[in-house]
Amino acid sequence: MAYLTEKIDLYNDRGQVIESGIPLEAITPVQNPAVREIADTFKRSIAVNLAGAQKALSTGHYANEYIHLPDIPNKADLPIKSGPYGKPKAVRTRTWDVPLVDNADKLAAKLKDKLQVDADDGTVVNIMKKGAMFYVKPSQKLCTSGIEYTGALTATAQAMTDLVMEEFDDILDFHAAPLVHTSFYGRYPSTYEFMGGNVISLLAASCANEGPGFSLRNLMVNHIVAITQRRTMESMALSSTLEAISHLEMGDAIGRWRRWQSLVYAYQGLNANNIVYDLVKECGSGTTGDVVGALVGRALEDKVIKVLKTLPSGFKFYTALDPSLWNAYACAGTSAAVIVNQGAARAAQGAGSTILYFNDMLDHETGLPSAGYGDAVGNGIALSFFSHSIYGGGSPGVFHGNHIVTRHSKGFLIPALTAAVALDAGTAVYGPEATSGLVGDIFGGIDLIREPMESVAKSAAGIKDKF
Amino acid sequence: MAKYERQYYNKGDQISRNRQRIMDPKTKLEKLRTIPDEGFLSILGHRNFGEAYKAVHPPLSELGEPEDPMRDLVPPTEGAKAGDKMDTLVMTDSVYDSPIAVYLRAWMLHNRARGLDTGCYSGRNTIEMRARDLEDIGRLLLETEVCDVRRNHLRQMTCTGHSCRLDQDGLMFDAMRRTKMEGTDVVYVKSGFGISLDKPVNIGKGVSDEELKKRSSIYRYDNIPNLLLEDVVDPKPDEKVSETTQWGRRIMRQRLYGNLNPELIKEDAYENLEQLELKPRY
Repeated sequence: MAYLTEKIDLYNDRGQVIESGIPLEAITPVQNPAVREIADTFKRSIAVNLAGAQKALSTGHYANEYIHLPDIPNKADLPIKSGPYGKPKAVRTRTWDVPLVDNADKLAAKLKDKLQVDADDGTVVNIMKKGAMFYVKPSQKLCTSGIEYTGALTATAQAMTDLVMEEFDDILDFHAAPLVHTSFYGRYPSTYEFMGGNVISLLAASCANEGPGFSLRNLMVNHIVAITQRRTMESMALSSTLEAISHLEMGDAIGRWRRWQSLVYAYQGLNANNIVYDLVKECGSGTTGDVVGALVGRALEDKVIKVLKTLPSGFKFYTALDPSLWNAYACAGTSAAVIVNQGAARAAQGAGSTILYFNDMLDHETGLPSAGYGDAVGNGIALSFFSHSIYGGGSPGVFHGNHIVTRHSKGFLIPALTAAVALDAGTAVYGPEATSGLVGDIFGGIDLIREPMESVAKSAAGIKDKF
Repeated sequence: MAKYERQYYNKGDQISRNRQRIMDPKTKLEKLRTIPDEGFLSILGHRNFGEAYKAVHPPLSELGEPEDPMRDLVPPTEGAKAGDKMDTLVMTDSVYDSPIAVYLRAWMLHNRARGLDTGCYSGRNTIEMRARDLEDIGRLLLETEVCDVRRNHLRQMTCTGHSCRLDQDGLMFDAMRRTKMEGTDVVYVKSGFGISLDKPVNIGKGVSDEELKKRSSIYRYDNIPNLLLEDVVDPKPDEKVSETTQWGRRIMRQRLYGNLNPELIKEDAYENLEQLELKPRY
């Protein structure tokens, strides 16, 4: 396989160069160690909600499941525990008061022992929120010996079930085992997902993916924004990294599409040659239309496109000297336009509109196809519909790449959406604070993931001489 | 290198010149009327005259934004600074020689406004913005030449009517009867939401039918008939069709070929591939 040897410069979100003269090959997921480590971290990271499991065991609300009763006269006299609004709602099944949170230290030590394969093999069990939570990263060997990514979750959930049954055998009898199982695994195996479970992975069960290779695209935009602490370009870079890995997994980055995909990742996600930054700086006080003009100007200057012919009215058709690079420029422009327009409103909801009309105006401006050669226009219009009320959509923050609307974009839609959500000042009902506080707490502390632009660039510089 | 001059749209015929003119923010739109504040707010139907703006979050200065270079480069709009709630404005445009059409509205606004969320749907264009930014844009949409009072209406709901036959006096059909003619003037008797107004709002008279034909931004069988015919009934080669059709053909081909192979939109590859096409059909 021929290496992609063309050189790019990688800049940070302040417009300063991090590393220059990087061969394109060095940032691709197959070569870049930091990208692979990011994937590995997402694959192996598990949260155990100890307080949630304890509540399930003590109230009988296993896996958030209630058995609703009709209003009957003697309802209050029935052996029924209170529901969430103070009214009797759920049938009381067997319950036990198991002091899980109080014994968090002891449980953490024993859990680590169960998940470890060799001594010091990188297994992590961190106690968070005063014992209410564990952050678990099982042994590398345990998670990668098989060929699927679910091992981290199933191993942890099974370890917790076993552990609780062993540790509290004075409280729990033999027949409690299925309910302890439910309090950690959720409704699985009655449902194919781990619905309502208290052992949580960022990646969904593999059968919940739209298709092969979608696992890393199944991360909500809000999660990514929370992890990067609302830093616009860092969140875009993380989102783009996950999309780049997924596109490799989906078979989209092979052969003639390999350079195409790598350029999108470099220019849109990693701010290669400072294009996104320059466009935002030039048009920050302007409109979406200004970004169109600035982008075409930049493409002409860099000799990516040239005038093909002039029509009788003076209208010019342009042609691409390097079509793959033109596409990467269009993707970078899409992100810049979203930052400019949604940044001005400090509200994420118009991201779909900006993606659609930026690319449509770019089509009309040049006579060249825009981002994704038409995909962005289609995705933008569908996203506008699905993120507004009449089609029962959620706000942009709850979207992810594993969605009927967004799955067709080749890695450029979700990063732009992530930028919009990062700039939101609090107009969304389901914002990052509402859905992803815990994810932000856990991953926000890891530099590799919180600042992907820096970590990928430094890692690429380390291997650049190989190509 | 000199700054790139945008072209917006081709100028091959009257309709496309009208479109190009409206899209270009350097064109100052002619102001035809001034609607008093009270009347304007009552048509819009979100806020009473004199009432404060509703907020969805505290002002940005109190909220304290996270450290982020992008936020420093992009200043918020006035509405965003104050934390206004998002409000909606829906415009309906008749297909009978209206000076602006729904899709053109989206293009125009993305070139002329900041902090915008807009979408088009069968005969209507929805705009969502921070409340006070929306009111500024609402004035642009109702008071300038892009609004002919008979063919462009503000309708927050029940927008149907853009393709229905006009009334005898040239007024667009409205199932909720929000507007009526008084002599030559158009009067809003209901707000955009269809609630009767205490004080009807007179927004003046429209331009003549001949003038509307000149300002039209919609390709129709009765203004440029060939545009429809040249692609459907009697296909002609690229050089002989209108510039709008040339653009459409070119972009569709490139989307098709580009998605087969990213390098096919390079001009030489594209020309070679064109030889494979069935020539007579274009």
